[in-house]
Formats: sequence, structure tokens, C-alpha cells
Amino acid sequence: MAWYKRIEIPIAITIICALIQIIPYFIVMGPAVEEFMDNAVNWEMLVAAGALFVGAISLVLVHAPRIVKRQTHWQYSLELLVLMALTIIVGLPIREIGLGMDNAIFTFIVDNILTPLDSSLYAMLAFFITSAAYRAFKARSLEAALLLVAGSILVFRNAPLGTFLIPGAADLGDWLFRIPNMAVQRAVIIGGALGAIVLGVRTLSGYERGYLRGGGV
Amino acid sequence: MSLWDKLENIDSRIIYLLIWIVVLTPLISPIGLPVSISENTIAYARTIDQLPPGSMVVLSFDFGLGSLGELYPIAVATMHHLFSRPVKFAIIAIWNQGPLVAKMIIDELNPEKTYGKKYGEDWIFLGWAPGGEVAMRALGQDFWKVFPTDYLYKRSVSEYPIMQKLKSANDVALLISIETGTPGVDEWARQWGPYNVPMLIACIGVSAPGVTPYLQSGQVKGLLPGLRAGAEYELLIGRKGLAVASADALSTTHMIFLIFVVIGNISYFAKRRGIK
Repeated sequence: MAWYKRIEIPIAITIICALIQIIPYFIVMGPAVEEFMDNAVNWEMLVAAGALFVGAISLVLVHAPRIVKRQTHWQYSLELLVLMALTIIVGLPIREIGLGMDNAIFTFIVDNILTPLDSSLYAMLAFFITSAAYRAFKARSLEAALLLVAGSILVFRNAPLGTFLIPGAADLGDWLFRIPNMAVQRAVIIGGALGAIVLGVRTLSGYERGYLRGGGV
Repeated sequence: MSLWDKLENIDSRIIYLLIWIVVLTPLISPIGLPVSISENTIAYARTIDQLPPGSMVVLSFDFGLGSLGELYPIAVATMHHLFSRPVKFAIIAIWNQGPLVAKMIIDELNPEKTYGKKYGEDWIFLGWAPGGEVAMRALGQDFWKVFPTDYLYKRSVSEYPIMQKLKSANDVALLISIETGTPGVDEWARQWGPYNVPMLIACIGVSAPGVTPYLQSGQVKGLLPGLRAGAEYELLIGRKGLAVASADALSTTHMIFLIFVVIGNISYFAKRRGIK
């Protein structure tokens, strides 16, 4: 195997990058190291921005063959790629030639395609949640009954009509929100933080390889 | 098929139709039910009201177009509130669709004409910072490095007087994040916690439970969870908008939701007990 394909290389890069961030947080190491650390943060932002291009390329790689082979629903793939290319081109921030956020085509795509589609997808949750709650939100056990009662109180608390009909629902809902909910959320945050530490230690020690081609070899 | 079987297996299309009716009816013919104002909403508005003149606020659009229904009215009301106060603020976005939403609101409010606020002196639109939590950290250290130019005119930030007072998180008196999820309050608290910048959070209803620990710790001074809180806020600052207009629809949909849950449970227990 060529040396640059060896698994140790990405593991070493991960460990070095992690240590660059971790060590100066706990130990003062001088302005040169701190500047390097700040620059590393900016590199990470560049990499994150670059990931958008990877996403666009990935979409082309997935959908272009579908169009070429006339696979099922290839028309949707064509629509997606055409609109993506159009949005990218007219949205380029080159004001001198009329492109960018004020471009009429870009504004049309955002106002009349992207916004209604995105909002509609989210709004449809109201229909699905009601239907799903009607079928699944049942007091089959003590725990389910508790969840049902607490959920119903919060639904009452959240609806102006609920607090109008039963003014006490507001106080009870707020109490549920501030006391039992907060206790659980704290546990979730602390549990998540402990998990992150364990994951960090496993990654630093090279045991965690999930980010390497699905496990690495 | 018994009555209980029928009640337990109502066609989804009937449920969808009823939801459709109870959303549309109050929008066409509002009922005008009173909306009581919660402590969190009062705290949110009070925090903005109590900012000393000239304070620097960072308003972060951490949501996309999908959440417009719930968060757009809150974002409009928050920007109106900020423009009405003698404070300075920078608009940023950690979500890539955030600038699109911010631009819509700026166009709607027309700050220079409506409030007499000058771009670059009283407020500035910096745009999207890629990288999520990493971007938050970088912003805490140096705004100028993350945003070398502004978003609206692509001019160097050094040309704007407001940016002379905004170099790092140490210059920020208040951070307002209007958000959908991750990155959001957890990440802001992690990265901006060391700077002790107070936060206000406006989020979709389902994200609200996760904010409570930060409310209790005092890191978050006020919380607006979802459309109802948006309606409360609009009433509190005296600018009725989309959230107040949607409050009745919110009531009717919540009630129909509860009615269906009750029907589901009655039929479930009736069948379990063998009631014919």
C-alpha cells in the first residue's frame, strides 16, 4: 500500500488538530501558538464552506447518471440540477453584472420556490403530528399516561384558548417547563458532555475510527 | 365494525381536512381571544429595553426558510424593537439560509426610512459565517477576521463606524439568537460563555425545553418559544403582526389536536374493557 493511503495519516492529522485546540485551552503557550490556534479555527471555517461545494458536486454525481440512463423519475433529477445551477449562477455576488441577492431571478427563486416549499414541508407537520398523536398518544402504561397528561397540559398552556378556558394551565405548564423538564434537560446536557469527552479520548487514542470510511481498516 | 373501532380508525384524510378548516377559519374570521403574557416574554423585552444607549447587540439568524412560519414574526418584532431603541446591532447568521430571511425583514422594515437608522453607523448586516460552532468561536475572538466585508455592499468592514466598536465578543452587550436547533443555544453557551455575554433566545416550540437550563443559570435572560410567545411579544411591544394574527389558528389547531387524542384514548379504553 502506498504510504499516503495508510490509515495512520488521517488519524495523526486528527490527533494533531485536536491537540492544537485542547492544549492551549488549558496551558498558556505564548502568542505564537495562540495565533496558530486562531488560524486553525479560520481554516476549519474554510473547510466547512468548502463542504458546500462537495455537496454540490455530490448532487451532480448522484443525479447526472440518473438523467443519462433515463432512470425512474429522471425528470426530477433534471429539474434539481437545472435549478441548482441557475440559483448558483444568478446568486453569485457579482453586483457589477447584476448578479447576487438583488438579482430578479434569484429573488424569484427564493420568494416563489424555496420559501413556499420549505415552509410547506414544515407546515405539513401539523397534519402529520395530529394524525400520529391520535393513533399513538395513548395511556397504555403509567409512563405513557404521565406523558399524555403532561403533554396535554403543555398543549393547553401553548394555546391562547387553553389559558383562556383554564387559567391555571399557564402556571402548571410553566412549572412543568421550569422544574421537571429542566432537571431532565440538565441530565441530557451532562450526559452528552460526558459522552463527548469519552468520544474525544477514543478519537485521540485512535480507537474511534467511525469517521474513516465507515470504520477504517 | 363497532363504534369504537370506527373511532379508533378515523381516516387520516378526515383529520387533515379538519385541520385545514380550523387553520383557515380563524385566519379568515379572527376570534380575537386574549393572549396572556408570560414571564419569559416580559424578560425578553425588558432585557432589550434596559440596554444602555449605544450598546452593541449581535442578532444571529440561526434558522432557515423552513421555520419561517414560527420564527419570522418573532424576528420581525425583535428587529423592530432593536431599531426602536438607541442601540447598535450587527446581523449575522450561523445558518446558511439566515441571510435570506434577514434580507426579507430588512426590506420589509426599511430601517432608514422607518426608524431613521443609518446603515454602517447604527446597524450592519454581516452575513453568513460558515462552520457552525467553529464560526461562533472565531466570532468570539475576532469579528473582522470572520467578516472582512459586509453582506449588503461587500465593502471592507473597516470603512463602517459601527465596526470600530465591534472587534470581539468582549464588545458585545447582548447576543440574540433566533434559532431552530443545532447550532444554537448549546453552541453559543459553550463558545461565548467565557465572555459572559447575556443571551436572548427565540426558538421553535420543540426546541424550547433544551433552553431551560440556560435560563435557570442566568446565561439566557429571556426566551420566546414558538408562535404563541411571538404573539405575546408583539402585544408587549405594541406592534401587532403575523403572530397575533395567527394566535387564533394556534388555539383551534391545538384544541383539535387534543380532541383527537381524547377520542383515540376513549376508543382505546372502551375496546380494552369490551364495551360494545
